[in-house]
Amino acid sequence: MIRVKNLRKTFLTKQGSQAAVHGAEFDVAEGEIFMLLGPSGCGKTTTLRCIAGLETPDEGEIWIGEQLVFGDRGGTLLPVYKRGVGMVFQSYAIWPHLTVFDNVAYPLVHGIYKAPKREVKGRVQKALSLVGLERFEDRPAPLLSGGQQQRVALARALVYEPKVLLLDEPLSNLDAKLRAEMRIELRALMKRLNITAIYVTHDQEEALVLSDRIAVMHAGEIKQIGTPRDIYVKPQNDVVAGFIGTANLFSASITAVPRNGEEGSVSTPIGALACPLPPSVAVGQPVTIMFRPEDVVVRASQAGPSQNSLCGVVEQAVFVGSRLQCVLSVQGHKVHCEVPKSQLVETGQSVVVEIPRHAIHLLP
Amino acid sequence: MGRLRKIKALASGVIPWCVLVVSWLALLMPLQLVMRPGAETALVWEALADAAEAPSKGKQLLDELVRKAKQEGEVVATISSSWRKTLIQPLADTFRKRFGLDIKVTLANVESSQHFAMAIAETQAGAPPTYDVVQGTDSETMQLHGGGGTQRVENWEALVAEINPLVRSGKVRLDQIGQGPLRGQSFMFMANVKQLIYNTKLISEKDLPRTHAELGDPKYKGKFSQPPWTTHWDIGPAAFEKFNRNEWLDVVRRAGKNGGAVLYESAGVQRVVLGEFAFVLAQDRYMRQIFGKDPKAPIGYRFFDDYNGLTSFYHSVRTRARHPSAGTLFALWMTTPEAQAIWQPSDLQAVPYGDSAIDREFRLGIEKSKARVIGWLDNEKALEVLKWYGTDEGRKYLEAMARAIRGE
Amino acid sequence: MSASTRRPGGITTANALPLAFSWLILAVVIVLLAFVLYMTFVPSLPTEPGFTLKHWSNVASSRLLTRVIPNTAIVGFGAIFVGAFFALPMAWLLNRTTLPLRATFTTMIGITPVIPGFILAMGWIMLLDERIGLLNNVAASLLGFSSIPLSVKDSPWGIAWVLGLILAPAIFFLVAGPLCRIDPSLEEAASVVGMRHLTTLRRVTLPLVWPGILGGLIYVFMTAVSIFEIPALLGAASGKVPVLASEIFYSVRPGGPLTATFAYGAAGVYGTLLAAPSLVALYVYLRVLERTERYQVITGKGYRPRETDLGGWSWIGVGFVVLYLALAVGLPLLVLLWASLMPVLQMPSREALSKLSFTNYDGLFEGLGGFGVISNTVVLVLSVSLFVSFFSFMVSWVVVRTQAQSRKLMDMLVMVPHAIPSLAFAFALAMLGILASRWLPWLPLSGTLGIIAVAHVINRMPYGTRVMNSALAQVHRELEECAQVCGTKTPTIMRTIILPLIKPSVIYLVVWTAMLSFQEVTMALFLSGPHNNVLSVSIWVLWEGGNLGTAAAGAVAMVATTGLLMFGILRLAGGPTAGLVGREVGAAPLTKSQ
Repeated sequence: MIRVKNLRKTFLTKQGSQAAVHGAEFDVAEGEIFMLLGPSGCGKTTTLRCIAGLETPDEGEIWIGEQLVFGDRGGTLLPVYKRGVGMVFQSYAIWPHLTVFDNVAYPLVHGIYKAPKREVKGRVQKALSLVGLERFEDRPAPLLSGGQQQRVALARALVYEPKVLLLDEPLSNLDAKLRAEMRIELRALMKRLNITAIYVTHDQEEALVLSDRIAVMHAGEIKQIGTPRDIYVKPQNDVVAGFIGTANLFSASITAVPRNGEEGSVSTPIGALACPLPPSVAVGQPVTIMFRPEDVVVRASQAGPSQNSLCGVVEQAVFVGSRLQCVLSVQGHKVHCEVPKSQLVETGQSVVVEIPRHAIHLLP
Repeated sequence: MGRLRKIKALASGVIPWCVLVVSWLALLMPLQLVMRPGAETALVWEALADAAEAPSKGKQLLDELVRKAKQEGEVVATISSSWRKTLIQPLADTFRKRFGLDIKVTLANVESSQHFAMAIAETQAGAPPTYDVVQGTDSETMQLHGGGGTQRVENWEALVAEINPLVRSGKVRLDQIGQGPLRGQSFMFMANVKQLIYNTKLISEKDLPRTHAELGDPKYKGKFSQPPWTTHWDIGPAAFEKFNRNEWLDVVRRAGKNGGAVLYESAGVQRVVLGEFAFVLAQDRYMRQIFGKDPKAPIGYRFFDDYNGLTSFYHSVRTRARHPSAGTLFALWMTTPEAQAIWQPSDLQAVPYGDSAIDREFRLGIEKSKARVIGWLDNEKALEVLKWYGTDEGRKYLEAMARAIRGE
Repeated sequence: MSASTRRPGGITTANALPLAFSWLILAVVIVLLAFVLYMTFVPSLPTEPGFTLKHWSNVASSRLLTRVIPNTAIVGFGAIFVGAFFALPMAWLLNRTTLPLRATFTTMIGITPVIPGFILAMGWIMLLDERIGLLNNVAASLLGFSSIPLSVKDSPWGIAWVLGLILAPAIFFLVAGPLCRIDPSLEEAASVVGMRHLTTLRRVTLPLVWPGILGGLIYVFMTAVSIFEIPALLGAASGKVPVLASEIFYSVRPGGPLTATFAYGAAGVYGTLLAAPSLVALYVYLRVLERTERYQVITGKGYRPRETDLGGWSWIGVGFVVLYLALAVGLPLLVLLWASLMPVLQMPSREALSKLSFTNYDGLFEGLGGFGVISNTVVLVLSVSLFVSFFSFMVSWVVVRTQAQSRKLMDMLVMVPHAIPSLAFAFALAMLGILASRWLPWLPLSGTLGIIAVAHVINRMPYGTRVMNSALAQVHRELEECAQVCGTKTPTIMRTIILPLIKPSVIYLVVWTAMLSFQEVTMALFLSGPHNNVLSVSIWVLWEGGNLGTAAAGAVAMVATTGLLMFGILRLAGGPTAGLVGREVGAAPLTKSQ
């Protein structure tokens, strides 16, 4: 549905030119919710704005449906208003001088999505009911709460039934609870309408919950594209691993390669660890290993002989409700881990840390 | 110009080139004009002169002029910027009625000191003049004349005699209407004389300065106002037998440093009436104006003993005028008592050769005080000075004089 | 965002329209500026041959450095100080508080520019002159002195004081628009953090309207140093307090037997002198504006101008506004009224009272030129304010809302006409008009209302773009981008989104431009022809012709009509603050349902 090829965009700043996006490439299938995830300044919003037509890329191609909307060869540049996309902005961009109804009706009254007068009211009401704002039609837009404004913005983006919806951090201005609710609701809505969406966020949790696929961006480049599960479980590099969830990352070197049913092992600054290794590696090769805090098992004392057990001291333990987040010191290195709330862990306590071998993931 | 180039360089890229081309063309346009001075002289008058061979045929000449004016269908003329707008309608109506004309008459208040520069530029550019007839002071008119901006009226003697009853009856001599180099070119119809206007509550007549030089006397420090223009001083060189330019400049400078303010005459007079200043150098008209409105106003006037400048006003028909015949009729008609009766009651300037109460009082006032009144065109010496002011040296002298008035 | 886009295909369609209009108006500006500059090298009239550097060499004198420039600086900065002292508190009081009678006060501030400058200067002399000043005399007799040497005359500080009072409305109107539209959540956030009101004002509100304020101050500085008539009446003309504006005037117009060929080129030289510091200031201003994002205060989020309830303090606020109005409006209006009722202006006394009459009002309508002049004035004022608003909007759009490389240059260029003395500007235009009548006879320029309109439009563009810049800088770009995505083109977005959002600023601009155009004399007089007389010229001509009483009567009529008109316009527009959402806020109860 959307195809972005070798997208490049450079901004001229006082310090000289600065690449905002270089070489972004991805395809979004029809009905898919595609997430651009990354820290601020990574180029994700610029990519989205290029697709919307609000920025003009320097190079590359952008296709929406069967139409080439931007191509550096042949100089194709379809203006924003002809691209037929819906967009929800970070600031909601609710026009403060209009009522809720007028805001939502705007695309149907002006511009190329103009609808016959008699249809407008029905369509606006339908859009508003989609987002659950049926009773707010006559309210001046500035008098809405944040969540309501967000819904108005969504209704306005949907009212002309675009095939593609672009969302630029739409939930970032809401409070935590509302945000969590809206995620689920938003996903349900988009799935119901079978809309193709590109969604920009820096909130990894939002990305994991909402998306069908995620592209993790960093410094203008796409580091990995994959399903939320892939991204989380099998990050392809330390940037992705570090950005999604909390990751324990250690550089390691391979001490044994798997052979004849025997497992491979690596030596790391926190000790020797057994772990699954791909067949292609060689002994002595430097690698990076990653494991997630929630996979780490912490015991007060050695329960019995087990693999990958290390000794550590609790440096910090924070109760976050459902569990405890701890930082341990193992051989002088920090290891993040999570402990069930039922388990009592105190700062300064000596513990045994077990890292299940299948939890260890080798970064290519 | 270097700056312009820089702007261009900065803007390159997005400024459409045509914009620059247009602006450069505009820059070059005047140069082009300079290289081809437009000097087509009007031929209307030669034809007229042929038609009027017999000298006593004033009536015939006039009829011919009126006929042409009717064909032209319009006349556009300036009137003094200080004349009331209520004068426009009666002037136009009476003018039309006098000659049986059914033409459009447009009269506009115009600041002659500003317009004459434009008028000269129009002539130099070969552009049609905005006005057919312009009103201006003697010195302004001389400049316009020098720049080729005025048209000579052939057989003007006969025409004036036909149109103006005072001339016909012999009461007014022709040289009172057309003087010196402006004879036959421009027609005098109004004049004012410079004087001292003072507040009788603040200073008595005998304490007023007698000569211009006395204005530098410390006892008048901060007590008077004078206008920023040089008209009160520039005719000085023609007024004295022995004259030294630098000494005169010192006199002006001392007076400038001694004065309380430099203000337009009208503002200066108002502030004398208010009591802020004791006296002001101004033209006689303001005196009449204030008395006209408030006979009890505490002011009086006095002439200087050394000299008092006379400013005469002329009408001239412009070169390349669109309506030369109607314009000529208007310029000549403005010298008549009929026209005077309309504008004089509100403007209150005198017609030196006129016969109204104001005119008589004007002449009487000068006679009684034995004041020496001097104008640019009434003697050779003044004319010489005026011509000298047109030279570079003269120009510089005037500039220095203008600065001296402001105490520099 | 200071980033600018490199784009392959040149100008995008979205910006083509504003760019085209901007360059149209700037082309006129460039041509005129080029001509003014050209004139500085011409000995006399531009139609005569010759080249000279004397205008430039004449300017260099020690007097300039030791007296003229220091005086000008005092006048300029003093006027800014006085103006800001009154205007900034008033702008806040009348736009963001619940002060009573706000609409009336705003209207009265709007009337000030209509009062002719000569009346203002007269008024201050009548009040403060050493010999006759009413205030001085009262104070002196109270204190037992014969006179008090407190005068506005012959001192740059006095001139700065009067100019500051006159120019305060300009700052007021520049700041009022932005102030109306500050997102109150920013202020609320500040008060939540525990800042007191004054601190909020200083730390949050002021920085937010800073572009508006700075733009206003630069503009006012340039105006203050280029106004001629008031310094002239207060002593600049006598050489006691020479300022650049008076130097310009007298270099252009020495008067005397050579009036017809005086050197307008010198005015261009002084204009350059005036323009240079102003452009430096402008550059600084642009640097501030570069951080536009910081000042985008209308966002698509919660947006309600909040009005501070002053409670018991409001009488102090009222007092402050009334004090200003008394000084800047009341006093001159009283003098104006007095002058119009006196046969000959004189100090109030028992004798003077017996002379009061309405004779000056007799035949006033015809005296001013009747219907012809009135309709000319209406056409001129309306077209000037319309064109200024339109072109300012277009230029500011390019400057603030696009990434066009030429935008900074545009912003500088459009500001330059403000530094060129009106007289030189009018002269250049008149000359071009004459040349045009020779080469392009079909162009209705010379002697028409059109040529005055062009002069006024160009002359008011600097102010217009200041207002529009600060207004547009405050509208968050996403509000516009969202409309683009919604399928609308730039013209529709301007009409349906941007203009309604900046409505208060636009209304202020229209009203203010109309007022200034209504009152402007110098250019209108210079460019006047047989058919384009306007009211201000009529009144000036009356005054200069010595008919102060009639001129004052005309001015009273002018002030009365414009006052009523302005009152009506502001009412129609919903008052000073109600321009946007005031009404809705007033009507709908606040609900916070989440």
